[in-house]
Amino acid sequence: MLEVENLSVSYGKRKILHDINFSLSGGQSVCLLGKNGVGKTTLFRSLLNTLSYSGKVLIDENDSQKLSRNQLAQLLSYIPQNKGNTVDYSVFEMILMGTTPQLKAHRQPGEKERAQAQAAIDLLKINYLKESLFSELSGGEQQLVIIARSVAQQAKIILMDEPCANLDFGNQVLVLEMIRYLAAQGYLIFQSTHDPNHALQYADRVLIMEKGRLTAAGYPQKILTGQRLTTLYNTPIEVVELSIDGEKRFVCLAKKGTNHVGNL
Amino acid sequence: MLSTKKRHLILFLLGIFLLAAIVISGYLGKYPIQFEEYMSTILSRVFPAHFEATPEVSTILFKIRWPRIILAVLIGAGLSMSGATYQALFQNPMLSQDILGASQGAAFGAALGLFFNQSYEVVVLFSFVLGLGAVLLVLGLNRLIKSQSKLNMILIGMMVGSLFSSAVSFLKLIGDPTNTLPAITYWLMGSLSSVKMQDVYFAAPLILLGMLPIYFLRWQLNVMSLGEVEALSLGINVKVVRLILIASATLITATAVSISGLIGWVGLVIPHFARLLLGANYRYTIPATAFCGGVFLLIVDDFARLLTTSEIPIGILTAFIGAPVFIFLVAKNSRQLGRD
Repeated sequence: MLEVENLSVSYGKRKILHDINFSLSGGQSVCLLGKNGVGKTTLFRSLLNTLSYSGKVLIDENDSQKLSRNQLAQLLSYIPQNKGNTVDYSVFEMILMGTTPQLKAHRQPGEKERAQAQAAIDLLKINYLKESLFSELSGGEQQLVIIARSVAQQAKIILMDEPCANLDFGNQVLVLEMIRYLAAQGYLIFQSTHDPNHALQYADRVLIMEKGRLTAAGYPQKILTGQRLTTLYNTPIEVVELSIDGEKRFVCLAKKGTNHVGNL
Repeated sequence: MLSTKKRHLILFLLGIFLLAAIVISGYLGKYPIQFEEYMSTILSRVFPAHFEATPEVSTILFKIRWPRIILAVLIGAGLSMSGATYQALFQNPMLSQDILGASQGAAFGAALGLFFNQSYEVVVLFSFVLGLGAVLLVLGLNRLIKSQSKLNMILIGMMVGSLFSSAVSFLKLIGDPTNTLPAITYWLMGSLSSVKMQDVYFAAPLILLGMLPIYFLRWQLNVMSLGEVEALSLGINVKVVRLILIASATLITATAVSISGLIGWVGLVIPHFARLLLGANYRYTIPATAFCGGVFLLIVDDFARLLTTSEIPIGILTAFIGAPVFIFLVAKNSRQLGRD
């Protein structure tokens, strides 16, 4: 569904991404882990074709650089970090904007587009939010609305830039559960996250980025070992296995350790 | 949230209100006209068989009052629409052509045209080019200093605006005090007192030409107001759409400035008023902005010509109304402005 071949990005002389290669199929939730500034957002921007890169991005076997904005938007949608949007659109209007790629530039959304938006609302079961103002929702609800907008966009691949940033714990679970649900519906959800626990508990696949390179990819339980997380985040971390309601779960914890400021 | 039906109703009422304001404004004036005479003169244009026109009323209406009314409505509607466009494009509710420096750039262009005694066409062309230049300069500087806050763009706009204002002052300084200087000075204060039917034939098509793309692309304007990356990911060709919209908004501003000088605050205040009435969705807010702007400038112009024995430049009156409203908006938006 999404294939990346030899993707490199440079800003001037500085190389941000080095020869990234991966391939992801639909129906799964994928987490991208990495420290701040390793190029996660740059990777997303190049997948969205909003900055120039070398290499190839194939979406459903189409070269993304050869697609028009409209065509690309019908294959790939993007959810930016929640920045506390100040616009006063209603939830329904916000979701309706997802139908824009299917509209001619001078047209207004009509019956068909409204039905499409309603279908997205039904899929996410957020009918109770429909009439509210977007700016008055909680962070988690806002995130659900933006996810619904992506569903209304009818793109099967959804990129999410830290969908859980700035959310309280309950709202994080709300969003992560929704991501899992959509993956089960056949979507490919590709999110970046700062919390390895999200990856351990909710991801089907994990990609790890370090200094602009992809250094590991695979099943979360396999590659997210205490040792790897320790080197990745440069702080001692241990992964423990728990059994909750008879289900095996993995959790990672930072050890009280040598890196503490007091020990320097 | 308002239902679609209610929104259509409000738009319809605004349209009726505009029509009523036009009819009443035509009746008002220093030269007294009997109401029956007035109505039959208007109706004689539509149903010549049933109504009779009075010649002197006809002259006053169609040569003097009518052009002024048409232009007040068009300029009010146009300035408001272009203000709303700038606000949406740059995701900044405190912007308008005056604050971005577009009006001052356009004013300098027009003053340059007047200074060299050029024809109307050349005056508007100068005005458009320099207005566009001012906007692009603000955008360029904003990008250059990697500005993170909405306040910065306002400050840059004010800087560019005052630069062009000084340039106009310089033209006044070196202008011929017997004809160029008074022409520039009075025109700059903002007035519709000297417009003729000829101005309407010239300016109306240009203003309408600027309004059309904004009207048709108003759904895209909604999406653009979410920010560049989101608009791109929603399939909008941001560069092209933004250029079309900036050019349209600036064309309206330049034409308005060339005809009537600097009429400030309309472009800032009216879009807010329209949003209060109908919400943020530009699909409805753009037509509402046009109606409200038309009604507003028409009424203010009625006051400008009737309040005292000599004309008050309309720009002075709009400033009296706009400035207090601006402070109210600053208070309302103060928390947002610091953020990116």
